[in-house]
Amino acid sequence: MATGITTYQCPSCTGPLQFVGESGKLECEYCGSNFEVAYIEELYAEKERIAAEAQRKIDELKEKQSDEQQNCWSDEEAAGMKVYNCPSCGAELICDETTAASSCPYCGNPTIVPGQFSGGLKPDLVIPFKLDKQAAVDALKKYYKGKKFLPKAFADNNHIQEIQGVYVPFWLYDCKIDSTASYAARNMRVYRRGNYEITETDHFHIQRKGYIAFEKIPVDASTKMPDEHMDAVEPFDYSELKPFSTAYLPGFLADKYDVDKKQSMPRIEERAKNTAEDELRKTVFGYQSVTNVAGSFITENCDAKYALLPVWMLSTKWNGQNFLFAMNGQTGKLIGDLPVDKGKFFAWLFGIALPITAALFGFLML
Amino acid sequence: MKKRLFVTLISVLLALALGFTVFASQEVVFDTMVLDMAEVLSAQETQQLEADAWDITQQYGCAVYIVTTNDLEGYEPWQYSEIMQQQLEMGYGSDQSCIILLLAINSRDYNIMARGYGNTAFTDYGKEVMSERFLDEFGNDDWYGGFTEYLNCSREFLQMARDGQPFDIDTDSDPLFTLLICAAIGFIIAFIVCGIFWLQMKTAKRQTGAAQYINDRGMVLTAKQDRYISTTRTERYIPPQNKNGGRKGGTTVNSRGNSHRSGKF
Repeated sequence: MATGITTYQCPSCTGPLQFVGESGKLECEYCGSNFEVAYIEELYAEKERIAAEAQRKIDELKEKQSDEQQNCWSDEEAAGMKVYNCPSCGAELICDETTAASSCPYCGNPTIVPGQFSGGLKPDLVIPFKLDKQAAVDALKKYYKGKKFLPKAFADNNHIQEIQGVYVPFWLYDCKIDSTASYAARNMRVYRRGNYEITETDHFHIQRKGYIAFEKIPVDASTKMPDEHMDAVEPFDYSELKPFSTAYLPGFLADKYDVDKKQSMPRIEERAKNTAEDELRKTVFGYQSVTNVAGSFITENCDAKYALLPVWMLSTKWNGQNFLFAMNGQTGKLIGDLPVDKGKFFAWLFGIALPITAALFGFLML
Repeated sequence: MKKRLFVTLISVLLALALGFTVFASQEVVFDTMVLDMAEVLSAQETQQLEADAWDITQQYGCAVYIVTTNDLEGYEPWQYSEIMQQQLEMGYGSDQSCIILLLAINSRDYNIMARGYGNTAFTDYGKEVMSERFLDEFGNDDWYGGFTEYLNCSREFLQMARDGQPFDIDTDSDPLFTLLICAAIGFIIAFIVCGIFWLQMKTAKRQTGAAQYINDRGMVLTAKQDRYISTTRTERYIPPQNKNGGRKGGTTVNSRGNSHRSGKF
């Protein structure tokens, strides 16, 4: 069941190469050499083609043999799983079929599965990691600081060093929204005459029609990634988008998409329509009160590019609950839900409420 | 008219002189605490109220009177009270400290008059609250019940004045209620502060908009129309400002040293 995978090896010493965000180059940990991405891409283009071909042949052979095998993974168990051999130490790596880049847990060798990016699955674009693991660890430590309700033991025991860099698959949508809306608007004048307060209200009917275009609205294309986390690490700086190359992947995990364009569309439409509605409303001004009466927002010319965006992630367990943190690997924006120590919460609640109550009561009664 | 009232007062004095004086005190010149000229009370009720009023008078050094009449003889209730107090020398001690509740039965007017120490113990707000307590009873012709409320209220306010805090706007609060209000404010503030801390613990949120991905042209309008439809007009009557609005407590005393509260029952 084992199949082939590719590693980028140093042309000087054959040690494993890792992509380093700070320098934007592939660097060898052993001899210290560094190489431009384009140079290594060229060097390994042929190797990757051969590896992908070998992978295809092995998969075909495996399918033929599967009926004959006994005491192996059942079809159900094997579904969605793939096994690869580490070219450095020979260990068998079992990954799900959406994992495209990983590292060997035995020798730490960064590995790429070129077959996962072939054909329709190959990303169009990538933003390389800019912040390294130490930056992510430091950011997470800083994130814990000043959190009044955070259980002390949580920060101590959550294996912060296990934070991993992941290239998360995203769809970047371009689209246009044709917008039409009508509003009821009012302007009021209030004045007093004798013992009467008089209110005069002018009523207006407002109509607006227009269109608005969006560029590269991101939506994560992986069911493994919670939408809330991936939305919250936005925005990414698209000026650093590059044509995809596997040379950016060594040293990080990478997934391929398992949510296609069509499945992602409702989320994009919702976000774009909400914004179109707000923007059209902003064109109505000069009135004290404006109420939306009717509106139509139609999505047009939708097109999406497949991109891998860099995110540092840490998943940790606390009292049987999973807590996931994500940091934008380019901008450093860090988000994640933290557990709440109920004891600390109530201590703060009563610690604030009781002195205020006592001070107020004392002030009023004295 | 004043002559008629004077005749009435002489009649009262003669009637009292022919009877007997129940109480005697050097401090109280006019010691008939219940003067029921309208005869709305039974003898027993009069006797009971008289005893209670005298007890309060002696205990707090402020004479507490009840006066009923059928006819105000053309005077305003407050004028009738003042003339009576002057002519009968009602009150306790040299400053004639007193509180007098006058009921005019036919016209259904009432007047509460305070003087001397009575002005300290019975503030404007105190007289207002006191009248609210007995108006229901008098409205139902429950004279004894109403006068009993008046005496109880007088005792309560005189005690508060003796304790150094006469009943007024700022002292009219139940400490438990005040504590509950203070606690509610304290916990609301605490919840707001803790809510801010709590929000810092939850930062993973779905995006609902895409404003930062709008292209450079923004919203391009292709049609725009603002059409005037109509004008509507509404009027709201604003009652004149209540004279008591924005009051700050205390007692309003006239040039003769008396304070009053009048009304209908």
